[in-house]
Amino acid sequence: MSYGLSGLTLVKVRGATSRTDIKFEPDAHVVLIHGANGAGKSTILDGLDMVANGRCGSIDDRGSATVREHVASVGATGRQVRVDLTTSGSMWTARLAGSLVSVDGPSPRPPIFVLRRYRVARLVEARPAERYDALRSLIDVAGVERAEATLITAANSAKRTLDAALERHGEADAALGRLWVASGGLGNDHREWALSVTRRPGTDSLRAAGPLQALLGALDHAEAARGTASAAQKGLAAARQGQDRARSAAAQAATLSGTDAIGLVDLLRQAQSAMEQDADAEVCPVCSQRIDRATLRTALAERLSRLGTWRALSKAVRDADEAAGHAEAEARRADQELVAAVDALACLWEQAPAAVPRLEATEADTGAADPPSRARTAALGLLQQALAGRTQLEHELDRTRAAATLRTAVATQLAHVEEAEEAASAQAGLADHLRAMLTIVQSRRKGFAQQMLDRVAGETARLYELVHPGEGVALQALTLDPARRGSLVHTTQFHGAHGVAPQGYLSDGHMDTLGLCLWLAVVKETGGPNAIVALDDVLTSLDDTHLARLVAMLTAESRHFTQLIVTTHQRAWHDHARRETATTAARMQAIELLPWSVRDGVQVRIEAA
Amino acid sequence: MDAAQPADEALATSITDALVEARLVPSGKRAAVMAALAMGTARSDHWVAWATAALQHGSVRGPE
Repeated sequence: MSYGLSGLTLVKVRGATSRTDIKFEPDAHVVLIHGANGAGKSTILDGLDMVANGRCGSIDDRGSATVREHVASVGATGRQVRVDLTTSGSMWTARLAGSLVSVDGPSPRPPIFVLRRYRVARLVEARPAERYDALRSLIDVAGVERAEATLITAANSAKRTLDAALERHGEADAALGRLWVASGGLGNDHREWALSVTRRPGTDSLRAAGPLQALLGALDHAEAARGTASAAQKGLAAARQGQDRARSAAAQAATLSGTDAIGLVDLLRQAQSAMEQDADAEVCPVCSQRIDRATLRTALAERLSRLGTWRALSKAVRDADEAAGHAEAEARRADQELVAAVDALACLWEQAPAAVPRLEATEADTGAADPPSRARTAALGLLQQALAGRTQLEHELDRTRAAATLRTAVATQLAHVEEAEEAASAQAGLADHLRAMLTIVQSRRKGFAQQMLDRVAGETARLYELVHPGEGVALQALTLDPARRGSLVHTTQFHGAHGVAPQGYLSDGHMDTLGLCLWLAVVKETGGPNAIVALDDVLTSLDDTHLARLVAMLTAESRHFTQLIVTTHQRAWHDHARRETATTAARMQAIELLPWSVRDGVQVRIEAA
Repeated sequence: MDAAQPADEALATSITDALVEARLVPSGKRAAVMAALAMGTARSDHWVAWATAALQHGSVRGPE
């Protein structure tokens, strides 16, 4: 966007009692507005100031006047005030809204910097704090300082978080170290040891302890089966002894066969019954012989008693035989279970850790025992070996469980260490990063203002020397007072005397020139490439020779700005500017202000180029 | 919001250029960083976010 001014319209603004239109040449480097005192020069710059800066400089800087009361022309109200400013492609309109200036138009507005005569002296003569205030907008970096403060907060917070992360890591690492020491301190260090423990194969609790637990279970089962088998054998032996006793008793009883004895008993009972029914009978109801009844009755009773005993013995034999049969079946079943349990145990035993002794099959006496007995004997032999290894097996299980427990503890603690390490590493990266950012921000901020002031001081001295060459006066330095914030100190060199305060030695002409040069240098430094500089009747104290040099300097400097607008009541400015622009590439537009009147207001006459 | 002061803008530009040059801020964040610096609106979490983004983008050259 080109900000070369093309037109300005003032309506009811200060001296512009009627409408005033000024046509600018957008490509003119220098616009010289000259007119007598009171012709409206400041009114024109006020219009520019309203549009560009939203202020009415010549009023704002006077404490006794207010914008509301004095911006409007005589007889006009604030609502009638209007300023239109145009460039080659844009237009802005400023109006009064109460005591404030409102501006309509595209953003950004034209960067117009207005310097008025009374401010020139302030730049040089004021106290350091006032000088700082005069240049505050150009050197104040409050925004960056606020951002720097939040960066400090962020960096400190990150550092605290990092410290906490490092502390957590230290605690976790120390806990792992204690585990290492408690475990014997194997390996070079606790981290190496922890890694070896957690990566060791087969130390998983389920994988390692499971087979050992199963083996001990099988051993318990086989041992119980052995107990059952042994009890069954004892039961069988007892049953067989009972069987022998019953048979022996039966063998000592009558030799009648069971069937005969039963028939005989029945016959005798019938005879006994018959004798009891026929108490007077003299003949035996069985053999029909004569009988001695009393003797026969006694014999029958005795005989029947003996046969009853025999029948009881016979039943006892049958019962003992049946019991022995059951006991034998039970013993056989128990033996089978024993053999099966020992077989299962032997299979599992093959998977036992190497530290547990192997089981060796025993050679049974093949000639003396039947196959079941041989199997039983072999199983008992294996079981005996297995029982002998139980202690070793239990030790292995305890050792494996302890290793698994240790591994779990080490893995957990190692994970804590690694997590804390990772968190600390990430936080360290962030903290370092923020600290590096802060280093850059602080170093740039500290150097920025002084570097700019050094450049401004150097440029001021150069510009001043163009106007007052070889006169022994030069600005030496502008420095921010390190002891007092917002204080700007300047020193000059005066005929060999260094570090002197200019207001004590310099004439009004030198002071004015120094102030103007300082202001120009600041605008060049900070105003950007599109800056428009407007000087409102700034120098009145120079003689013609110095004025000619000043005009030459300003004409030359105009190339650094979009436009240089100068108002003056001195005709000599006009003449010097005409001569200067005629001999250089700079284009000049001259605008003459005619005498002012209430009726016509500010009257403009554009001179021919 | 008020416009940034010229000095703030100039210094913010200088700082942002240095931060981007040192890869402490991703170049894609240049405009946001510059504006927040100039206007004084950069918050602590903004700085952390810019730093994190730069760390994620790659190595840091560090301040010179």
